[in-house]
Amino acid sequence: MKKSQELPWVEKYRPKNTKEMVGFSTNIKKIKDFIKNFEEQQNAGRKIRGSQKAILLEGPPGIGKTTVVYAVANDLGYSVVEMNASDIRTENAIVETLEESISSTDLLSYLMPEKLNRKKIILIDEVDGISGKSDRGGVKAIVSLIKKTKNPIILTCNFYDSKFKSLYDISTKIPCRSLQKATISNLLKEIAEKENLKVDDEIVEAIAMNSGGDMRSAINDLQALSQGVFTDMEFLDMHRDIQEKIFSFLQSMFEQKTIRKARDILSNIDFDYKIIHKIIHANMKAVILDRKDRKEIFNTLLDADNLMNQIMTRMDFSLLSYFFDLVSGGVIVSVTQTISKGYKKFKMPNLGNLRFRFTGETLLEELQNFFYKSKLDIVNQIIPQINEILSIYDEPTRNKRLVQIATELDINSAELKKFVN
Amino acid sequence: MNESFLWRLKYQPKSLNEIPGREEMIANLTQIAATQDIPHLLFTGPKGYGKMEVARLFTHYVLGKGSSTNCKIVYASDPLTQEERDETRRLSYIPTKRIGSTAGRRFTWPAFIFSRIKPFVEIKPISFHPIKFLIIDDFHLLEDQQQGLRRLMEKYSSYCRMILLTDQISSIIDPIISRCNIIFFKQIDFPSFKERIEFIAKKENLILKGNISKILYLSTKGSLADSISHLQAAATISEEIDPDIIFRLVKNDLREEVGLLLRHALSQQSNRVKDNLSNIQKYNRVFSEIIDIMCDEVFKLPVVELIKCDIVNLLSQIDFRTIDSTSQDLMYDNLIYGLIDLGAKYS
Ligand SMILES: Nc1ncnc2c1ncn2[C@@H]1O[C@H](COP(=O)(O)OP(=O)(O)O)[C@@H](O)[C@H]1O
Ligand SMILES: [Mg+2]
Repeated sequence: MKKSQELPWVEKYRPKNTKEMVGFSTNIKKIKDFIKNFEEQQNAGRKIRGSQKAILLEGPPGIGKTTVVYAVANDLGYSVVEMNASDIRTENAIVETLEESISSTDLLSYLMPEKLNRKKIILIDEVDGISGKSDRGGVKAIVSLIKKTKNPIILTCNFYDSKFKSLYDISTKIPCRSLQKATISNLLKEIAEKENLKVDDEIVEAIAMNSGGDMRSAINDLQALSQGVFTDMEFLDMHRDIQEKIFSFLQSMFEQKTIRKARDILSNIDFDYKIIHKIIHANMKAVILDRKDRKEIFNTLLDADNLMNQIMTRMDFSLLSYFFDLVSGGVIVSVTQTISKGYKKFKMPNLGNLRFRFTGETLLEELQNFFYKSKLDIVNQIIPQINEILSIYDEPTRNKRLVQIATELDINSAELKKFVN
Repeated sequence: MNESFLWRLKYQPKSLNEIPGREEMIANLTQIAATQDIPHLLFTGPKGYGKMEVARLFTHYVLGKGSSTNCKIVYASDPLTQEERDETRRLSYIPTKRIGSTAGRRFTWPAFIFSRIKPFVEIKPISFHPIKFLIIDDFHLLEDQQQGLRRLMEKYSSYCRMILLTDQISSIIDPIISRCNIIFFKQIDFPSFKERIEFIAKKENLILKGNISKILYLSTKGSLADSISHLQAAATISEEIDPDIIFRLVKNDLREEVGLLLRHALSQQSNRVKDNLSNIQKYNRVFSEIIDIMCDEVFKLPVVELIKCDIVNLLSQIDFRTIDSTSQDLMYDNLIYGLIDLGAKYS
């Protein structure tokens, strides 16, 4: 049995009820109160005010927003009708989806009588998914759905966006904060134990740290680790000391109000200054919420990048001071709106050949002796070409040809087969 | 060795003189080889133009029999292995037992140079050869590690020559450029290309229908190796090579993806753009090549000419900016912001 056949751990360990959830307690209570209130009002035949018909869970990804809805539903004996916000275009489309899913759950209730007449919570997940101008109809559709609804509605989103102002006005916002590092590492340890996975506490801490409060990515990292897949882990492992430095740099950088203070912060860092603009670029989306601000900063970073290229190709370090000005003062003056505070998942910029690795390294190296291409090109170019040539043959002939190629190149045919299929 | 099953290998030139369509360059190189002091070389030109082939066979030409031990090819885009990383890390730490202000401190070595290049260049050529060669593919990817190489180029210049290959010369630092003889690669001319393809077709008893050579030439940008591979795939279907089959084989996924990116960005579907982008980045092409493809794709858009003009104008500005950039990620974002803005303007 292949390992990949297993459920992803994020699903396997998704809490079924609120007791199993970690670190969400105050919000759980608020959500339960909301549902109960809705039911009471409805039973009493009273008209429910707009803001009591819908709540909006706002918070970064992977902290349990979706999970909590299902868990609460389970606790209170509701079922959840989920709609993905990105599928919502018009009011009609919503109503259709709703009717469809409600009638199909009714069908289900015949088969499973205990689900009979379960009340429903409508979950519209990731409202941020509605994007662009053409989708404005989607927001309107949700607003009018809220006005008419007979079921409590829960929306989730990552960030505030002025596009959704009308949604905000009509629903009650519940801010959800990212999880504490310790909460995450505790849960990771529990999972590791259940999976019989031996892993250093230090690594667990590193994963928790790197997750920036995102439980989903933390669990995914742990699973990747267990399968021998290394992604960011190598980076983590290699730069764990730098990691914290970069992280605190980013945190304090954006909070500065004056150019001078920003510049001070910069002068205190001791990691590779050449990549500062790349680090800011890779992480600014999480911190800067306003689009205009982002654009401004982005333009500043472009200038900084240009300057850094001049410095590096001409070895003209007298320009370095301007570079520092741009990435400190230049960046912070572009921030006009409030920024997202708190713990974030730190992203490493793409630094070329540091990050990934291939499966079947040895085979690739052997192939390099014939094709004289980088490993990436062999995987992306040569292997597909071999595939193309063999695709016409039936299975036995194909195998014969593969063995022929392998013998000719003096490589292991079983290994080659893994690649070619 | 028997004839290879894969035509790509079977028809791989075995010596410098066998490379089609490069007569002038080869004459130039043999002249260089005849001099007492062969300079470091920098080959520049787009992917698929045969830089590696020329470099490799040039070293064979110079070294003769000793080429296997005295020539090494490294690929800057190959990630370091775990062992190489560990080794660099281990050596980057100066133990506290050591005396001096550096004791107990950690140094960041240019890991790539340290583990892939230094060990080779430090050893003198074997078996009485006066020189050895190091070929570095995709040299621009070394970014600021280039600085480290600059010292090595001088230090071991008495016996080690380097041939640097790049498709992005603007990212090569000046000190390196000034130490190298630069050779520019152009697309091989069509007559030579056609002659070679027809030669192979004859050898393999194929009948080329229609303008097969032209189709291959245009779609692979004159890369013979890729064209030959497509030809073999077509030949497995039928001995009569039909343009339709070739068209299907050379269908360019990258091009398609770039076209989609363009459309999605202009129509502001940011979620889709993200997917297109990550697909494109898998191809590991330099940014300016992507812009190139995109320029072609613009003319397929169902919009009025004026808008096309605007888009091309934007692309040219972005391309210009790329010359002085250190970060592909930034460039990609720049492109997308630009397109989205433009799309908003016209929607
Ligand atoms: N508070 C939590 N307690 C336990 N597990 C959690 C918690 N938050 C997230 N998880 C884990 O992370 C996964 C993703 O959570 P999810 O609710 O989908 O995040 P969100 O909707 O906020 O992006 C879940 O499957 C679960 O395994
Ligand atoms: Mg979710």
